[in-house]
Amino acid sequence: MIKSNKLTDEEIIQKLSLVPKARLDLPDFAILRSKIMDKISRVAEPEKEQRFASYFIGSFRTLRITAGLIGTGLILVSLAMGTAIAALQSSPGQTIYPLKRIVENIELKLTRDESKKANLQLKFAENRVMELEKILEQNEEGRLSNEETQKIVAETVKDLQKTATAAASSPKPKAALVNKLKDLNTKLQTASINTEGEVRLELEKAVEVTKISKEEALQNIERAGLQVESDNPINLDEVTATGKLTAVSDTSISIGAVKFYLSSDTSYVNIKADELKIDLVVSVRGQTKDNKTFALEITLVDSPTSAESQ
Amino acid sequence: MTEEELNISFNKAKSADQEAFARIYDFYSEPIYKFIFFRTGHKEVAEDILSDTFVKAWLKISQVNSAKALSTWLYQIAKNNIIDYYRVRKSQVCLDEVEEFLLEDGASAIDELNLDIEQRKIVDLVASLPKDQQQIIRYRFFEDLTNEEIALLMNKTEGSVRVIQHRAILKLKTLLNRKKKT
Repeated sequence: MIKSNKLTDEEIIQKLSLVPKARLDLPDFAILRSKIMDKISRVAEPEKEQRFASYFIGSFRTLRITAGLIGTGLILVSLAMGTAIAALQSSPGQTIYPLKRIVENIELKLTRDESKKANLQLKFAENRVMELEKILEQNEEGRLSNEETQKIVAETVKDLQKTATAAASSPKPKAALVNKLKDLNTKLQTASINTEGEVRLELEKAVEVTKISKEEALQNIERAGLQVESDNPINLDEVTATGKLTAVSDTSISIGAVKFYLSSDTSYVNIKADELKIDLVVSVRGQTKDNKTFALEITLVDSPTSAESQ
Repeated sequence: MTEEELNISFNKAKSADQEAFARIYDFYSEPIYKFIFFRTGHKEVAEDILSDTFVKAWLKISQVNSAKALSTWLYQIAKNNIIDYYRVRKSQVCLDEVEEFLLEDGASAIDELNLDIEQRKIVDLVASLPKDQQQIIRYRFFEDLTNEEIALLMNKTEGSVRVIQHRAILKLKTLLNRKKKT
């Protein structure tokens, strides 16, 4: 019987396993070990699993605070005024910073009105972006190491994600919210330009988060249809409406069934008069006179093409 | 280190025991260093990335659920650090391009100078395989990574890795047997 010359799978695997491995000039792992352990002893302890309150405790171990049980006022009363103010102006990494977050969360829990809650969330998102800018500045000036910066940026971006998402999913979104999120998105893009590595990746995440939140807020505005609000309950002639343009002519625009007449007194924000067209989402402040509603100010909130191009 | 010793060290390291973490470093430093070196080709760079990898691992070890997941997790951190190294070095390189560099710019994992004729033949044929198959063969046989580690590095399931590896072996068999005929 003639033995087959052909290689079997097992023989191929064996041949592969026997290919000699490269002889590397390995480093002295013991020396590397002591360098690494030295670095480790200088950085923070490993992150522990975080329960809500424990994240904010930091060095305030004597304060047993559970958000929702103690009002903002009580916290401010129990601390020296200077400390409270310092806390609200602090940034991540400072020992007093956890207190700022506690105060924010309690403020949120005590707010019932959905629209005010969304505004608060937006304000907190803005705070996070300002904090990010401060941290990056400190890193540039050498006051914070790259590792510390990356850690703080990662945590701050996580919080930004929560607040921006919460603000955007408000059932009563306002045009101002979309513009604010757009503004935060631009700031984050600018901030990420001079960064590298992990910090840049985290900031890119934040840019994406604000972009998605802005689009969600916009969709909520569109879904909510025309929203007509009277910001000034005393002057019933003043009207503010936000929604998609359904009709545009030289003399008027319509958002659904509401028609606004254009006049020489109409002012335009973020858009020119000749750029008005159907499907743009606008916010219109108007005034009713002689049974007609005139547009006093038209503000472009967003357009289909600007959302796609980002 | 036995599995039990690794488990004990892992649990202690999660509770901020630096000595325990140092034992984890002792266990994994060489394979992780080799993985980094084969992708960067520079000793000093590989040492720096190794150092960053373990410092990061120390900070984030609470995210790992079990000692069994440690090795794949360490490889993931190392891989991300290598990607950052290439992004910084070649600025604005996109992720797909980095995967190419990982094969081109690095060092060879095999002793090219001491291959016999048969081994040279097989190494040349590996280089002619489709990219996925080539990568898995290199990881598995030249770098001694497990299927679990390979799956994580290539963003595939272990099942896919086994299937691709099997196809690679079949392909090599066909090519080698064809060469034997001629």
